[in-house]
Amino acid sequence: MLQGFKNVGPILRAMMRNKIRVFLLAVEIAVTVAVVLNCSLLILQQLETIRRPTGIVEDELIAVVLRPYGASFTDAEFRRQTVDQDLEAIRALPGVVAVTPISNFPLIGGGSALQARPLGGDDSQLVRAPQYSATPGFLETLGLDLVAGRRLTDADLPVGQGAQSLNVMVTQELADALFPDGDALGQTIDTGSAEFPDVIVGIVSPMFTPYGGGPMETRIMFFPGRPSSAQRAQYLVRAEPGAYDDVFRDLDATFLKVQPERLVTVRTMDDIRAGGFLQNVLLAVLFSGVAILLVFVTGLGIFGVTAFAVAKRTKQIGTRRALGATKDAILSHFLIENTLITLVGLAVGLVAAFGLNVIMVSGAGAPRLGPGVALIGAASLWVLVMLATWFPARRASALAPALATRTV
Amino acid sequence: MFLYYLRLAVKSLRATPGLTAVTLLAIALGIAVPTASLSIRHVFAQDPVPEKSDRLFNVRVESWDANSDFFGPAGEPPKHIAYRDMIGLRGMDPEVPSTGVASATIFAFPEGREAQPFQAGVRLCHADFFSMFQAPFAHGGGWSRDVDLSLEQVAVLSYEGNQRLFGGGDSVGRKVRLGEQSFTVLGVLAPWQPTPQYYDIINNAFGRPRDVFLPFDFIKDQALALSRVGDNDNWGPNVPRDDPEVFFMGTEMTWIQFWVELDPADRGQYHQAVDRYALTQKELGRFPRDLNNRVSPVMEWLAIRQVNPPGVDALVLVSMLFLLVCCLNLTGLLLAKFLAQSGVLGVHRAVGASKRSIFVQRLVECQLVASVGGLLGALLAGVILRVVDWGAPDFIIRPELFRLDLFTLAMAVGLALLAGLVSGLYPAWRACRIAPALQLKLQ
Amino acid sequence: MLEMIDVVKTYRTDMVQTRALDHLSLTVEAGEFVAVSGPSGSGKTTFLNVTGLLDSFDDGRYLLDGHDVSRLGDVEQSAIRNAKIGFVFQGFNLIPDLDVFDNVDVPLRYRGLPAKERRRRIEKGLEEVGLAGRARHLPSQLSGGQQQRVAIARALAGDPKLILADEPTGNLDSATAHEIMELLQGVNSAGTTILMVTHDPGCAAQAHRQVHLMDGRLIDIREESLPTLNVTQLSSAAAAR
Repeated sequence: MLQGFKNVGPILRAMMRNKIRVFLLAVEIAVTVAVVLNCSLLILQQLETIRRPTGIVEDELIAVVLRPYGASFTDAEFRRQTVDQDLEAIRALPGVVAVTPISNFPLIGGGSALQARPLGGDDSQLVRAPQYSATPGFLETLGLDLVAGRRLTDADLPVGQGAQSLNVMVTQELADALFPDGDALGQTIDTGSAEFPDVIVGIVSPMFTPYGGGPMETRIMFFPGRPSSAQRAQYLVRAEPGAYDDVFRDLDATFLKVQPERLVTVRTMDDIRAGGFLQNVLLAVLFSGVAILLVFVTGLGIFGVTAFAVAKRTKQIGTRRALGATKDAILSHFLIENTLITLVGLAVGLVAAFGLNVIMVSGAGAPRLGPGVALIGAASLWVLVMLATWFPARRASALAPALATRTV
Repeated sequence: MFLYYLRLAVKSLRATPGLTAVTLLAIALGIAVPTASLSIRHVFAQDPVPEKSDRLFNVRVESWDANSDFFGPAGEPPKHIAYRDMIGLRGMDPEVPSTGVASATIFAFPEGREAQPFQAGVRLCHADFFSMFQAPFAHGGGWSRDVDLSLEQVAVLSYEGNQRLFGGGDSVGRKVRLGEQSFTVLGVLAPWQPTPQYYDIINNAFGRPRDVFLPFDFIKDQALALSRVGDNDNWGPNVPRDDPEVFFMGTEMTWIQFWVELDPADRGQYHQAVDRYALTQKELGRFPRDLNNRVSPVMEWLAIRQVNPPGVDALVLVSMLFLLVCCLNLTGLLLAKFLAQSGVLGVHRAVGASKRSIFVQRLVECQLVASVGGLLGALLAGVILRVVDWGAPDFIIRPELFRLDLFTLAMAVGLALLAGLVSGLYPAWRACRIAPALQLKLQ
Repeated sequence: MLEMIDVVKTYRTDMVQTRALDHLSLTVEAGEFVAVSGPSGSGKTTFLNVTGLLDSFDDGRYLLDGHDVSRLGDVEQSAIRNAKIGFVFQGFNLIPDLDVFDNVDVPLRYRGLPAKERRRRIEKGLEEVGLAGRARHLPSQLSGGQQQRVAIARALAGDPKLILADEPTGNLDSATAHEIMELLQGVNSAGTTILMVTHDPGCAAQAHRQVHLMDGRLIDIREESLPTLNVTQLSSAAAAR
């Protein structure tokens, strides 16, 4: 192969006599490299979002939705008691690590958000944050750690129904956004009504939940509460990894034993996630599909054209063999020929890739194309071309020298 | 002559089965990918009601907090309106067909003792909803405008709701129990699913239709206790929720998509009326921000809501480049084939085929292979769409949203013929320029 | 039938300029059977291509059947080839994907004849060459001689005024070659003019007249206008030359 490069001159001159074929292949490779590189960027971007650590133990979580239809659930006190009974019953299940009612499931791709600011602060200090209301057990249920301050306790739970000031926990990102000086702990904040300001008593380890993009996805606030309405209640149950399936199976009956007049839906956190990352997964899959098919089609095209070139040059190849060319020389002839074409295609294709990237960045918010990804992509494409060339070229090198004398 | 060319094309394609198979595969893939992505884009970007999308207008008013911008795209007013503004806009002179659109849930109790109660989706709307959005009735009809105020206990069922409650059929006149109350069925809709579901683009763009349509003001019926669901934005003062009448008329919470039907020429006039309404609210101490009201026809509204995610356009662009690569492939393959057949072409030329007829003949061959490849591509696109549909969870994307329909099929065949023509032009031109004199001795 | 006056044809490549026909003049009367011979490179193929309107020429005049065909466009030339000229080639030049019937059909299709008329002509043509029973065979299923008969049938089906034959027996054994020559003789006696390029003196001798091509010129024209000419006499004359 290397030795064959000495013969680049004649190969190049022969190629110049097949300008159209060279042109077609080079443009094909150029477009392929431009598209595949940009698809890869979009796929990587989506994967990054999908696989971004959420900070919570999602693999161990089970999501339960309860829809009561009994009239008794219209009574707030009845609901409060039911929550306590539910918690007690679930905790008693073997394999359950922790449980909490929660106002919205995390990772669902939305939920409920508020705008908060330091009490008395002006509008420029408003920070938007997803909010969750849950019993103090939420920390252990989600698998979050206490970073600073203290945990919430049952004593922090709201009393009665009306609006009131509460002690809250926030992520470090939210604390820093509200109080850039880093002194968030113990500060009083306005979360919508200045008459009832809330107090930050604890800071939890980092967490991420998809919420349509932006910094608010890591700025999260937890209120103490027993979220449960006449129409709906939701629980998160954390199970020991080994007991997950048993707990999952038993939850329905356990809830109905406490209160039968409600519909129970039990789902894995993976199911919940699917909604939150739907668009990312869909795009990642579609772009991967296009990229893979494109690589396949380009490989097919190179295979086809090379096979045809071999068939057309059967006699010529026989003549070369008769004149003393080794099998390797024939093989490397085709490999070098297609390498030269690929180089032209890659040169054009890399320029096109950066051009297409500009459109993608402005149109679809794609990441910028860096030289590293570009080089890896270009090298992979060259390997693809070599593979697609290899098979027909092997067939060419196996042709008998006697073909030279046969009149076709 | 065309049929003869077609026959020659079939013979020529069958003479090189391997190459023909590769060519077909290249076209099929080249067509399937853009067809699938254009279909997906079509689902997101199509006009859901082409016959009157210019007559239906979504109305929004700038009711947001003086101190902070609404968190949507910069410069836009809130995406919903508040209940009190819906009442205000509906009370304007002259009266135009209008409806609020919102969602709630309630337990529905199907007939029969064994049947489990289920949580029914409720569409809150006004009497004009059905005529404005051209809801097709299978049985009965909607309620009259008086009912919007008198709140007789009547309901319209969607096709799905009728299936769930009564197992289908003509249920007009039957009673349906919602919560603790009983409603008389006035009408049952035929299956009806505009895509996107533009009248509720915020909460249910691609999901299943709601089960029951109820007059809007039942949301204030404390005894019925509908549970309001769906997106809402609120900035204003806390209003106690104990009394729904007080709450809905007092809160600045925006949660209603409000629609009017207008002659497109009256849009400006109506907009001025909305502005005049806003000024009356300013006098009451509401609407602290500058006038910024919107009367947006359907397609404008869908664009503002970005129904078509930006990634989808990138996908279409990438798919078109994919098609380009397949066309280049096709050109290469056809060129190789035609040049290899130059002996045969020389004979045709010698016995009297003009350049033009060779050219046409070759193009017919390209179009034949392209049409067959296009049909294969359409099937393949159908498979891709099936897979996407299967992969998307039902509670966000209703099943069968993405599928092989007439649009997809027409698109595939159209693209294929275009691709065949574009890819075939150069090879056909080369083929017809093969000089017969030089080729006759070769065989 | 055809008249060429001072026809010049030059091939140019980047480096060389070759004069393939150098002020060539030739007149062939209707009903004649003319053999053209010459060494390889003498311009035989070019001569045949120009005569058959397969190739253009640079200078001179060419009258075919009384019409000047020097400056016609591709469509008109194709139509004349189709209607007035039949070709018989050394390599038979049958279309391998088409069966015998369809091969004979090709020129008739380009003439746009109705189906019934085409069928009649094809069947008549195949009968004349003795292949009526082979209509649905592919060329590859036929012997060389049979293939050449199909080619002749194809040339005849269009009812041409002129048949151009290029080494029609070149790829055939002598017995088969003899049959083909008899066939052509028969065609000629039925009134069709034949112009045949050959380097086989035996074949050439069966023509009414022989012309010799050398370096793009007809340098030796012998008038042998006796239709009853003795075959052995002619071939010995050619051998003596």
